Amino acid sequence: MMKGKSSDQAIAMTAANSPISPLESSPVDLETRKSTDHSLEVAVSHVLWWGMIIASSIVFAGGCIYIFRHGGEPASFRVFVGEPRELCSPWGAAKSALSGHGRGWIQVGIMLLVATPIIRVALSWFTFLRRQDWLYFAITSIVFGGLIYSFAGAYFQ
Amino acid sequence: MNIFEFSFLVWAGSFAAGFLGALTGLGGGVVIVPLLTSVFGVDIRYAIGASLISVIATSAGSAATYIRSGFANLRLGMFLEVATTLGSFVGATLATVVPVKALTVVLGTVLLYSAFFAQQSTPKEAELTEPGSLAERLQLDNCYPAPNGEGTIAYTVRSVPTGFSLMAVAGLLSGLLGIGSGSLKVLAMDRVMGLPFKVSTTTSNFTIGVTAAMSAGVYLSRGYVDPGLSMPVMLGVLMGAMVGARVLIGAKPEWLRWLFSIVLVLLAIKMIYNGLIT
Repeated sequence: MMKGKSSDQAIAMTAANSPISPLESSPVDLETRKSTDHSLEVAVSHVLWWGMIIASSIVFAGGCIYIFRHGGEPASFRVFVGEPRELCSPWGAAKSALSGHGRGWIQVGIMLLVATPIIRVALSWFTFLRRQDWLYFAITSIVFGGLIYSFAGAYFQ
Repeated sequence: MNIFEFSFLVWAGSFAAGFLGALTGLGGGVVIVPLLTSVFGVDIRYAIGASLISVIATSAGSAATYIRSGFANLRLGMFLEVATTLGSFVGATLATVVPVKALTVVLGTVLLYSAFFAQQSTPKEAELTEPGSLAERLQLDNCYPAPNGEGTIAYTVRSVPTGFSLMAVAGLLSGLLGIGSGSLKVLAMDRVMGLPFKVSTTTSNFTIGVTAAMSAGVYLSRGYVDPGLSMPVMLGVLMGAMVGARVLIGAKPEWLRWLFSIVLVLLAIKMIYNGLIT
């Protein structure tokens, strides 16, 4: 049913609505919105799935290196000391990984995993911009901006 | 205990948490922190960091499949993410200043609530209410595939401001405790905004990843995310959740839900006792 509506009609609808401010425009009917949103849903689903697969593969590989090298050492997480500075930022983690540290690789995988939902937001943000859906462009801008602000602290230290 | 044994045991515990979490629909995240602190003696800050990472992984994995099924409402999810990410950022910032004992007591309370929530799940059919003007202007009303596979069922969203505020609280708890806050998010969407059960669970799952990613930025930069601990937790919860989702699709045996609730209550008592007495 969703796919039944042709995308020509969907494009025509969006084009007709675009010059009017989104708050004043009459709401696009449900059927049309469903079919235009469907391609975004498919893209988002791919991003999430592959981000999760790639990140967990890297974490697993890093974990193997880590356990192989340090498996016999005593485990201690009882006292909080915080991570070394290099493992707190993506660049530091990448450097640690490139010098062959298992913990560095795990951290790279984790950073990639955290980046996955952010890429998802960026993708939606760009899609709404391209479709001139200003209401949802504004909504995703707030979320995207917040994420960038939160990560600025981690990335540039 | 050496690192190999520790990692293996943490992996097994996380697997069980992810498995039970998927079966009961509560998500494994809520038990990870108490499991790590009470059973494995991990500092709560490392536990929160590791739990948060596992929450992002599970959300990405399950949201990827749910979105394609047509139940998750993308626009509603994106709109509510404004509230959850804001709450989550505040929560994560608070977590770095709130005393560890207070965190423990808050977590214990959330566990008790989750145990209560697990006991009352009432999947209901779509209901058509008066279209709220706010929901209509925000293009939140949508439809989902009918159970018999023919056509779609339309639904409307009500009480948008109340739902939005509840989502901010859910985000705050998520950032503060490193959990997904799935139960609170479902409460906001299912009970307050009047969404069909399947729509609220799938949409809640969709927003969990971004909410957790927001606080992950704070936790990563403060050194709360330890790779050695996060690795077995993340892989364990993820695999447990995937197996759980595959083993029993839709079927949620009553005794499993009871088991999960009892585990939650025991952990809650332990957390509150630790926070108040010791």
